[in-house]
Amino acid sequence: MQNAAFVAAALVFAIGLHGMLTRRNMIRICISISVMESSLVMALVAVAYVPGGSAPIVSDGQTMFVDPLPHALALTAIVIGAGILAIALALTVAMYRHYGTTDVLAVFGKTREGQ
Amino acid sequence: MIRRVVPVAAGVFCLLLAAGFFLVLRGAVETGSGRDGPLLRDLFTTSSVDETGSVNVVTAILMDYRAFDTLGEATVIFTAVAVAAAILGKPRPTESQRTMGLLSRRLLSSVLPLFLLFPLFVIAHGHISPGGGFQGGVSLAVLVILIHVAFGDPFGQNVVPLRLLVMVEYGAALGLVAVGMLGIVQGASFLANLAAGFPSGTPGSLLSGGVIPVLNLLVGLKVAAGLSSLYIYLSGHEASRGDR
Amino acid sequence: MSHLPVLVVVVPIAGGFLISLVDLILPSVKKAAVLAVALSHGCVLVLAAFAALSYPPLMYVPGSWLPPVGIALRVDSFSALFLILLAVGHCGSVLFRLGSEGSRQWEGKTAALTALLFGALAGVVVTADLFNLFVFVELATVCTVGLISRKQRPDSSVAGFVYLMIAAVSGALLLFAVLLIYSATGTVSMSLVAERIHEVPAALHGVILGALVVSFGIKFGMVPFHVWQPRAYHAAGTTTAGVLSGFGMKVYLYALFRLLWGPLQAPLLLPEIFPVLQVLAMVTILVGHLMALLENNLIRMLALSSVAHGGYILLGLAAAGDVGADAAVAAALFHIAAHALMKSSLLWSAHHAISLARSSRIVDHHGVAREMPVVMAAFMVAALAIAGIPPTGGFFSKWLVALAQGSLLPVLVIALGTVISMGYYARYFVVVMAKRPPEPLRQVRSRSILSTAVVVVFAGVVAAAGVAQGPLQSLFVVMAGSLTGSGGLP
Repeated sequence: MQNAAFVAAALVFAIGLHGMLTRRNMIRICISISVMESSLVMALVAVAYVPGGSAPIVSDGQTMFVDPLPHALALTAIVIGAGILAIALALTVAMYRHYGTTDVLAVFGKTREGQ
Repeated sequence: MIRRVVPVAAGVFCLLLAAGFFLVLRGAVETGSGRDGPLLRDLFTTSSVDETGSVNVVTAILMDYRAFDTLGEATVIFTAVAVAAAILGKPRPTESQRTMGLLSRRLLSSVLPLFLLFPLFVIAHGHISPGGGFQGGVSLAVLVILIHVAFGDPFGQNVVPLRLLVMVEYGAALGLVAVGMLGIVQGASFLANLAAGFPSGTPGSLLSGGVIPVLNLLVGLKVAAGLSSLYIYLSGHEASRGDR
Repeated sequence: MSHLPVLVVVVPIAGGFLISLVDLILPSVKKAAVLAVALSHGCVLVLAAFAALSYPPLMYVPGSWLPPVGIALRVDSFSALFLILLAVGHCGSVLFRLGSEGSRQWEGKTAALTALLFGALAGVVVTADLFNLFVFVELATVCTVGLISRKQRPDSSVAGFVYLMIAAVSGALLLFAVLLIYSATGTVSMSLVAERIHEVPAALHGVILGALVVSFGIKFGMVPFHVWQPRAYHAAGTTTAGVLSGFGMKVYLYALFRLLWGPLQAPLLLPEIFPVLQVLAMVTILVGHLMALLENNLIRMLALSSVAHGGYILLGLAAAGDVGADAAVAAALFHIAAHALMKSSLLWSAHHAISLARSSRIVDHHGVAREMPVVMAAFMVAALAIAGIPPTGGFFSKWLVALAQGSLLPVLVIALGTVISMGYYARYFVVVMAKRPPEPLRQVRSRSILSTAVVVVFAGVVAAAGVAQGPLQSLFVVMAGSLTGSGGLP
């Protein structure tokens, strides 16, 4: 069960990294970063798994809970990732306004001409 | 030739890294499960109700045990909004009236009050059921974004002006620090909860958990205002080629 | 006051919120608010540093929760040096900006972002919790991107995007390392991890260590992850580049020191990492200096020199791999303090030269020294120090790093680096001392005494540090002792 979640997280990580390395469209690069960060969140949730544990909300008759700390860390990591993604998109918008393209290589080419 | 080889090579590289990712994670978890001694998760689940008054252990960690992390992450959202504003400048709403069709607008206007209730419920019950300030705040931001998408930017700006959102965000951010300082004033430490003498109430009821509901509300308002103003900054530009 | 360790983080963060609010509702008092935030942060930092210099380190638990359930903050005499540097950096940069920029530059978010950046850096210094470290490193990243791309120019957005991409990889690696540490040891508190890390198999330990070295290497500009730095400093402008290079970079190096000696126990459990770091440091020094020699833009040249000096500090760290090698850590600390003052002094005096010549290309700076002799004298003193000419503080810090090396090759690299850097600073002097400017320079805008004074004082302190190097060195050995655990005893 936990292994399956780890395999899924590893595959999602590979997809995100592959997108980041090979895509040229800046919006797709932003999406790839977000996918890569999601893989870490998946891994955090998988680490928290306890066989037979329930969600960590204490009520009568429950004694087995999954580990609550990685859940809290995952929430924090998601919010931080959202902040970074927002800035990456804002920069993409700013570059599109200046250069009229979201192709990352074309933008680099144009900055070299400008110097 | 090279255009074909590069993605394949990158794919193989990524798959190798993924295999490493899996093996390392597996090894770390095996090392951890072989360890004896008290487990951190049992410390949290057995004592959090008595120590914080919050039935939801994840909220207890976020808003009490590790509330200092939460202050940091709320600051990240605050900074992200400030950075987006610095990069993009003042939003200029588009002249063209892009709105949804009449049917969607009529439907939405009757559903929107319910959309407001859900995030408020999630924020208010953050300490007794799944949810909390961040989750509720994000849903609340969706509401503002939905108004903008469905009824057009000018209408959205009228209903929820950017200045109001920004003021709410700054107020909630300062409020977070003020609640933290209250712990110092009470003679305990920064962001202290029950240790600073705040009442814990009956665990499981709406008014329980000391300052946790207050922190949830502040974080909810901050995230809602922050994310919706982020949307306004990002969407408030006609990113046309003629803009250069 | 017992709340000092948390106040060094909370005061600038609350100050950042307050500056934004004042900017919105009462812009006329913004300058006063910025100055008040910087000075109060400086006071809190210095008080915390002096409280920590006495032997028992200051501990603080926000929310009164002890580890493992809570977050601990810890200030010892090793962190005290960095707290003092942050105080100097925050107050110095705000005073410099007050003196050097017109009222137009006070619009916008720069002041709030600077306060938040210094809050995040102080958080990295004081925290004793790995996940809390991740949160503050990411906060510092977000602030840095904002400072790099705030000017709304095309190249600043590109520089910000490049930094954000590479910083996202760095953040992901840091989070991955924290996740591995948590699943292997069951805690994220640094002191508890240090007790349990010996149970972790060596291979896994190596992966964690590698991820952390690469993650922080990206942040302080270790070759080959330095590519973002010249572009980013050029886009950020000299004032901000002085903050990022002089003080931000040092805090990432601090985090590396702290992690290797604290939770990871690298000198005891994994001493094999130190020769690797030594090679990386030598490559960083040579590549940084050679690229600076080929550069024809002043800001990019100074940025690449920062890359090289990160290498010197890393070389000191690598030499400290033997258990109890306090002298090497002390040498690295001396170079950290000296480089912080030298590089910010260089970049800030370059600010005056660039605003006079209206260009940051070196060839456009003909005859600048004749227009502004005091500032250029400060630049020259700082440049002599950074190149390592005796008797400046910069010479002694490099000398101590070289003395701490166990073999000859790193010493030769240090010497070669000194020769190369003398080459590129001499080239700049030849240009600025030239007799006649090829075209009339811009009408000199009144430079306030304040901004000149900041530059002169920084350069003067570095020069004077050479005279006082004996007592300074023994102070740095005490600080190093609190990192390595020897207590500073010989």
